[in-house]
Amino acid sequence: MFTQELDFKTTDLNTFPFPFRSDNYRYSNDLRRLEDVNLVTITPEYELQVRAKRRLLDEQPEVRYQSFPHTMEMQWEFLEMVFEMAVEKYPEHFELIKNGDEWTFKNNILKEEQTFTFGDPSTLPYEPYDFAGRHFHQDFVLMVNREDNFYLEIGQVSYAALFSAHWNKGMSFDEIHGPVPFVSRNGDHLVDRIRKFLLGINPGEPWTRINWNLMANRWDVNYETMDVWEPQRSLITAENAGKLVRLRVEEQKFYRMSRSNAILFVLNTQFLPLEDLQLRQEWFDTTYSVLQDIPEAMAEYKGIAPYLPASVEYLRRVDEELKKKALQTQEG
Amino acid sequence: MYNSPVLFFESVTLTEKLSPKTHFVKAAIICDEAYKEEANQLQAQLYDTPSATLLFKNTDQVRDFIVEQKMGTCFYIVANWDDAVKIFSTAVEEGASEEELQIKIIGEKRKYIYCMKCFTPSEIDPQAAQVQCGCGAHLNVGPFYSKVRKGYIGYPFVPEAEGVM
Repeated sequence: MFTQELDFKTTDLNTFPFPFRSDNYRYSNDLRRLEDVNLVTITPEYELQVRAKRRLLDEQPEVRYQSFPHTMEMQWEFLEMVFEMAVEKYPEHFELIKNGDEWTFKNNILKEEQTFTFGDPSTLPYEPYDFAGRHFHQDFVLMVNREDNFYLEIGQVSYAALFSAHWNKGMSFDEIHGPVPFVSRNGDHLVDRIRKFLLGINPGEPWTRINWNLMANRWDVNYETMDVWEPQRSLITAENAGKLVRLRVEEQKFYRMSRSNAILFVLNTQFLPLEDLQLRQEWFDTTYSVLQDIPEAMAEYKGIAPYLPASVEYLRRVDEELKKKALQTQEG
Repeated sequence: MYNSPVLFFESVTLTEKLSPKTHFVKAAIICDEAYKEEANQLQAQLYDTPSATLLFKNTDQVRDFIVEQKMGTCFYIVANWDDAVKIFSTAVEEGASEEELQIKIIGEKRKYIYCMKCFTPSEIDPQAAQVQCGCGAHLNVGPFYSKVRKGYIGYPFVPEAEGVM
């Protein structure tokens, strides 16, 4: 069985990566240098989100986690990197004790401790990448650089937006983004430009960009459950969109791994119900403006076309109410 | 390697009619003996390009023939689907790229779908837009192919929701 209860949302708006910088949105190569290179972040929802992620991984292991057997060395490199980052940034929450190859990792938030032999996967309950990833709320995808392309060789993905670690295993960057229909103003395919950009990323100099979507009463839409979520999208109305439709924001970070030369994609997914946008008026105004202006091809690609009109209508009604109240206050 | 080329329904190596690729220094024709006329027709178009031909009854001799060819050889293959898959794989294992392969299929090309419910590939009617998997799932036939999963993506759907019985 597959659980889809939405048991967390962003409560600290200061950490919510609001995606829009202007009143309209178009795809572009919007990568920028990452200021805080440490990928570990502890949000107020950390425990809820990590537990939800682990539940998904346990319920659908084949859907959520995939790797090739030859990736073991890269998995240890990943484990070492994220554990060291966790300890460096949050020494009160995480500890890593190294005694030669005998390592002990402590997660004090979850009150967990694991001793293992570095390099020996039999000493861990899961593969090293899977084990390490289960201590952090993000999704992690490792793309191995072969010639001038990247290939998905390990994926731990619990918050997919039209993505599947199972299906996309082994695919090149171009194959994974085959459905992306967007071309830049000068005729270059956007995916090709981003792939070329990623080829130039150096170790120790990660980059970031923000992607967004809407989710209709779910936290992910993957191919495996399309028969479930596709019909559900039509149940969204202007009356229930405020609660059921969430602005899904994916803060993506890209790291060049120094030993394997692979690119690690770190995906921090956060959710904000449309009704919570009112907590920051400028976010409400911008989102309302952006969603009114989404081209049809983009709505189809993002999978939001069936409930975008209801979502916009919900925002229009709220906007009307707010303006009415403002007018009354002015007159009163 | 998992990302090595494979022969599938829309492979760039497939052609309706064999035609010489001019930038190769040599041609190697691998042709089912039953269709040797195809090999003869191609041979006539090659003019002075050096060539070698293998007319096969079964694919056992194919590997030795491929290994014997020099760098810069283009392979022209005439076979039914199952034999073509074996020859294609052998050629790739021996270092050939898709650019160095041209294949004419005799008979039907096979198409496979990968069910996103039960995670198994199965053969389908190449014209079908929707199929039912052996596991019972109804699938829309997607346009994307996975070399690892060996099939086109099959998107699950509920028949009632799309008006299909």
